[in-house]
Amino acid sequence: MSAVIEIQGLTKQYAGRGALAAKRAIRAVDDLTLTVEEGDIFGFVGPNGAGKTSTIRIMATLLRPTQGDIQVCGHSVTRQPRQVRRVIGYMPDFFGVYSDMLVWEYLDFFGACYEIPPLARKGLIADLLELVDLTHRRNDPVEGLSRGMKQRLSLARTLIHDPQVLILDEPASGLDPRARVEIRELMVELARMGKTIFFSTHILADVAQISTRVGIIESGKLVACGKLEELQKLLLPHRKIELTVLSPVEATLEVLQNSPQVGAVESGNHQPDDNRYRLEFEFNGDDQALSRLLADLVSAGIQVVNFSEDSRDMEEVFLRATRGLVT
Amino acid sequence: MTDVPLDKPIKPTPVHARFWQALTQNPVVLKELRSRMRAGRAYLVITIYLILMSILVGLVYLAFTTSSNATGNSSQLQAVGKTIFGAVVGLELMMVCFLAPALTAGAIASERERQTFDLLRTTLLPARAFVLGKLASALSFLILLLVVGFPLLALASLFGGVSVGEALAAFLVLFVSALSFSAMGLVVSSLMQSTLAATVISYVWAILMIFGEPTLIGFAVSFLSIASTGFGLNPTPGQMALIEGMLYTIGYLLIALNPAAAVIASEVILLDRQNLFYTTLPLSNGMVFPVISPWISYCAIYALFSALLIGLSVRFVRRVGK
Repeated sequence: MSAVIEIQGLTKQYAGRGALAAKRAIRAVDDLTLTVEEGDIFGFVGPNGAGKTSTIRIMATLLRPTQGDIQVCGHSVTRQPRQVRRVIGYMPDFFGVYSDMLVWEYLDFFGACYEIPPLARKGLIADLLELVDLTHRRNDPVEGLSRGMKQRLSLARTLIHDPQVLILDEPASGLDPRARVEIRELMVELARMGKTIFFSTHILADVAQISTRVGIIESGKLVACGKLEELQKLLLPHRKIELTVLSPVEATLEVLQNSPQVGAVESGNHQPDDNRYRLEFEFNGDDQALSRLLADLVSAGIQVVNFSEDSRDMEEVFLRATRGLVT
Repeated sequence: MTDVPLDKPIKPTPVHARFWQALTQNPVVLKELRSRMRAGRAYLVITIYLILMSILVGLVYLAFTTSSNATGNSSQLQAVGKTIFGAVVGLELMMVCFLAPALTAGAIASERERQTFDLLRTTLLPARAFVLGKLASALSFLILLLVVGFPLLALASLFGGVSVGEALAAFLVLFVSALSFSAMGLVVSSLMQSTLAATVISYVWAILMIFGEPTLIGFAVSFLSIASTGFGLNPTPGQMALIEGMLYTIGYLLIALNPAAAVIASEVILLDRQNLFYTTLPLSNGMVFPVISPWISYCAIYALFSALLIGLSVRFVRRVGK
C-alpha cells in the first residue's frame, strides 16, 4: 500500500495581536508528522483545541502552514492546491446552507463547481442521492432536512467529483444515535469503495468501531499513532476482558485463577432473574492465549454467554495518551 | 475512413462567444439568478420601481399639459420628450447607484456568514469565476430593471427631442455606473465577515461618491470664481489663461468623477452646443480650451475603476488563511 496523505513536520502558529503579539501567538500544530495509507479509515482524535481542525484545514488548502507541508496523493497543499482540491472531498464540522436551494440543486451547483459537465451531473446526482438514501428528498429544500440528512447530503457533496481522499471534520458531531450509525455505515461503505478516509472526532466509539488506524493529538503534537491494537498494546499494560456466564461462578473463578495470564478479577453484578454472572478480568497474553482460555472455560463445563474485550479500551488508550504518559 | 486534413486551421472561438460561454457556464451566475428570481422580493422591487417611474413620467406630462402656455407645437412636445427622458434617466441613475451596492455588498460576506465560502474554496471554482459570477448576477438584475424601464423611455422618444446617440450614451452611463457601484460593493464584501458591516460600508462609500463630490464641486466653483479675478493680483493675459486652464481641468475632473454631475454637464453641453461628444470653453485671452463631453470621461474613468476593484476582489477572495 502506498501513502496517500503524508504530513511532514507540520507547524501552524496563529499570530497574536497587540503589543504582546509574540507572547500571545498560539502554536496550534507543532511539528506534526504522520502518514495515511491508501484505503485507511484514519481516526484523528484529540481534545478540544488540540489542533485537529487546523491540520484538516491545511489539508483542505484553506489554511497556510507556518512550517512543513502535507502531500495528498503526491501533491503539495502549499504548492499545488488546485491538484489537491481535485483529489480531496472536504466536509467541515458545519453544514453550509443555501437556504433557498433544493437538494438536487445543491449537488448540481457543487458538481458544476467541480467542472462536471451538465449531462454527467444528472446521473451522478441520482446515484449519490441513492448512496446516501436521500432519493425521496430530491426536490425538497435543503433547509427542511434534518441534521442527519444534511450531514448525509454533505457527504454526497464531497463525493460529487469522485475524490480519492475524504477529509471529514467531526462528521458525527451533533447527530442523534441513529444518524451517527448511518454516517458510520456510510464511511465504511465508502472505504469499501476504495476511498481513503481521514476524519477527526471526539466520539471514541466511532474510532474504535470503524478506524483502521488512529492518531491521537494533544497540544498540537502527535502523541500516539497506529492501529488500535498496537496502541492498546503500547499504552495499556493489560487487556480487559468481559465474561458473562451462567452459574456456578465458583468454577469459573477457578479456571481463571489457574491461568497464568489472568490478573485481577472483578465480580460484576449478579442478575438473579436470568441467572447470569458478569466478571471482568485483566489479561496479559496474546490472542492465542485468550482463545485457549475460552476453550478451557468451555471444556470445564462453564456455560459462557459472553466473552469479549472491553469496548472502553479506546477511552483508556485516549486518556493514557493525552495525559502525557507516552511523551 | 475519412482523412482529416491536418493542415486545416482550427478556428479560434470569438471573444464574444467565449464571454457568453463563460457567463452561461458559470455555476455562481445560475445559482444567484435562481435564488434571486425565486424570492418574491425581486418582483416587488421591479413593481415598485415601475410604479415610481410611471408616477414621475405622469407628473412631468401633467405639468406640461396643465401649464398656461402649452400650445402643443412640435418644439414644446420635444421639450416634454427631453424632460421625460432626463427625469427617467436621472431616476434610473439614482436607482443604479443605490441598488448596486445593496446587491453586491452581501454577495461574498453572506457566503462567509452561511459558512459556504470554505466549501466553495475547496472546489475547482476559480476565484475569478466566483467574483465575476457574483458581479454578473447583480448586473443582470440591474440591467433587467433598466430594460423594464424602456417603454417609459420609448414614450419620451414619441414626443421627439431625444436622439439615438443620446439614448445610447445614457444607457452606457447607466451600465458603467451599475458596474462600478456593484464592484464597490463587491470589494467591500470580499473583505468583510458580515453582510451588515459590508452593506453599511458600501453605502457610506456610495454616498460619499454621489454626494461628497458635489460638495467638492461647490468648493471648486467658488474657487474658480475667485481665481477668475486673478486672486486680486494683476496677472498677464497668458498667466491668466494658464490659471484658467488649470482650474478648468480640476473642475472638469471633479465633474467627470460624479455620475450625476457628469450627466447634467453633458446634457448642458448638448443643449448649448448641440454636440454629444465635445465642446470648448473660452479663455480670457481669446483662445479656447477644448474638452470632451464629461460622460465619455466618466465612462472611461469608472470602467477602469471597476476593473481595479474587480481585480482587488479576486485577490482578496483568493487569499489563503494565514
